[in-house]
Amino acid sequence: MNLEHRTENGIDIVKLPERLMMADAADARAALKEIIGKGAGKLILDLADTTFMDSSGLAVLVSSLQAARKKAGDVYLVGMGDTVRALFELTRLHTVFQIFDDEAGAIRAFS
Amino acid sequence: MSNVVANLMLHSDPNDVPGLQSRLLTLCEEAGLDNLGAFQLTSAIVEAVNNCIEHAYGGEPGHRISLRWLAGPEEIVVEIRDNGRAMPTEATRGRATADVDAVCGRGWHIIRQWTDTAVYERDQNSNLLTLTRRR
Repeated sequence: MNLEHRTENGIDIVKLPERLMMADAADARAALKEIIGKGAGKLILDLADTTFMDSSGLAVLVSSLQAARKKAGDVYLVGMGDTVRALFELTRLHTVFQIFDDEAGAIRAFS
Repeated sequence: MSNVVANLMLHSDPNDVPGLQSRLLTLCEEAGLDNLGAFQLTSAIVEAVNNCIEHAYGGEPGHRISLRWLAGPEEIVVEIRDNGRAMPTEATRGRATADVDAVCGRGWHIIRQWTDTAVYERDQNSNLLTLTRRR
């Protein structure tokens, strides 16, 4: 899976795809693990294009969070739409992740 | 009285599910669900199909999963059938919520919370999950 990835001031910023489902979960998990492993553990996931995510997709995000926190980093989420936000609220993951309206806010929080 | 609107069939391959998800969103829209309602019901069905693939068929591809979409004046009924292993009783009863920071274990929670009823039945060699969502 090719994830759009760039680095800014030591923060890895990754754009998630339109769907994050079981079919792509293993590839996405591996790609994010590699990014976290090579970087500082500070990761911003941009969900602006993500309109659907299943529990396999949520698992990818949680495992990324665990990997980042092992490096004393974190995973911040930005650009989340209303429906995906409803999924985070249902599963209470909105209490586990820090969620920002936009990338600039997440970068400021890391700084 | 509910009418059959669609009979869908897919294989126990995760790559079949994104196409199903698109089709389900269309069916939800045609049934008059709003954006959030469509997302919720589609999510519940996708989780149920993921369970068929992962648990009933143990991740083995090529097995059949069938969905029947019925629409009545007050509710949508979706029947999901597979011929795999029976679901463990504790899974179908479900926990109140998944552990908040667990990596997995949220599927049944999503199914139960985003449908009005979720009834699991085992008959001979098949599993039948019937999901109901009021309009």
